[in-house]
Amino acid sequence: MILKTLNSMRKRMSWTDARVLLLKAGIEPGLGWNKTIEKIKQLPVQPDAGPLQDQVIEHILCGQKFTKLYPLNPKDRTALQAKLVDQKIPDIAAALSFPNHLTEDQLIEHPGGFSPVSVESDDDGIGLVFSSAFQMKKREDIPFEEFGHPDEIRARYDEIVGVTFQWEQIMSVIWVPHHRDNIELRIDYPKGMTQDAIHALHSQLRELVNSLGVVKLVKAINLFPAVRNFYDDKKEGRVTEIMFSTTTGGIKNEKIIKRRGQIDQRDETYHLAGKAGLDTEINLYRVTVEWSFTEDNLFFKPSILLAATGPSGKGPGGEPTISGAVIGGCVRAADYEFVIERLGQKVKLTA
Amino acid sequence: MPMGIKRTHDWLVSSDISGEILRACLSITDWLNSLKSDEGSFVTLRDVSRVVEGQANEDEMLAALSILTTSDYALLDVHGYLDDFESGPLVLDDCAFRSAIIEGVLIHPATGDEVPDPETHLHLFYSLRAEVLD
Repeated sequence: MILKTLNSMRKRMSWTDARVLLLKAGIEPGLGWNKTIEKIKQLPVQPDAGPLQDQVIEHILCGQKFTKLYPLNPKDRTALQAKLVDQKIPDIAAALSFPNHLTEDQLIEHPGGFSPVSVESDDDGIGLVFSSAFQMKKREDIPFEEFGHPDEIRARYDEIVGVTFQWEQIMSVIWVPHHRDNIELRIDYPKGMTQDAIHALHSQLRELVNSLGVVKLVKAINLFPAVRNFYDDKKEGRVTEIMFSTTTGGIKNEKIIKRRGQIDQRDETYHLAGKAGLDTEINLYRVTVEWSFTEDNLFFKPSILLAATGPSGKGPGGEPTISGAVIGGCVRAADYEFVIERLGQKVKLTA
Repeated sequence: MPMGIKRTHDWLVSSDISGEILRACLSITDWLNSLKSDEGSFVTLRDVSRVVEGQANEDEMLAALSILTTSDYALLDVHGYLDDFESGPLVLDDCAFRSAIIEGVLIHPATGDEVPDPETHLHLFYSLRAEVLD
């Protein structure tokens, strides 16, 4: 049982996140996935999969999501939550194996669109979880030895890469919080998924909410105001990436490489000196903010990325608009809720 | 000069270290002292090569860096990052860096898979220890 859970974790989350979940469940990881799985296989008694599965559910609800917020009239909250709870969960493989992920063979048989697989609730709200099969473009290294004359190939190329299309299981959530007046649509946003694809999935999920007949979601809340508000509030987390335009015609993408240090892009010497050389404000349109928590010797690092496609747009005052946020690094629901609360404050949503 | 850097400087001068390695150690120490507070966060071998250019060869520079990272009067911490084609540099956490250096096993922080030829993909960088600036 636990091996299935480990394989599901391997499919859906980064090794960095998986290590934290394993340690939280009292399982000492080995060096990388292969050695960890080997080590657990050789234990005389396999650890109970239960605690790890609970954490995988939290990760399905909160881990590496592209989230859009829609206004919720508080009077619709109870009816919408009840509607989610009443949804019939079909007897399909994705629901029967939840929270474990499907095998590649099972994924090929996955029904199209969004299939409900579970209803989850906690102190923060109630959510309906869906599974979808999505084809992703993957790059993989091809060893030189697979060619007829490996030495000749090695002399000619440093690396040979193949592109494949693979089915991946994407987990999405309609989340109705108890205390925030927004409906959250959260969709897995793995590396390699394009912006077009995530927005298309969001449109389908929004129509699915509308089809429940309780609310009519039209336009996601514009999160762009939070970009400047996060940047200006120097007490708020640590900014690790920004993108902005200048009136000198520059588009600048500045990142902090040392992720666990104390350096903040807002106060970085090069950034401040560049700004000081300008008579005009920089036009920010992308920001990543990280927070760090240590609990029980484990390191948690939730983050938010807000990105517009360019420095101006059709929003108020010629500003761009941002309809969704990438909320990453959350291995616990508490991390995600922390980030979403901070986002709400920065967009100045009413509670 | 911050007390921590001065302590290292004084220790180097009175130590048994000599010749080009000592000169390289002192040049790097002086250079670190000249940096603004956040400029010692991501020091690469290219930066240090420029500092010791004409004073020490590569082996002597690496010996100097080793002294400045491992002695009782160390000024620097050493870290590693992995060059990832899609994501750019991925900084390794302490545990992953230790396993790469000590056991020669480099684990990709995203996939959890072992990276073949770790020496090709692992790059070192240094950061000034916060406590030496006190």
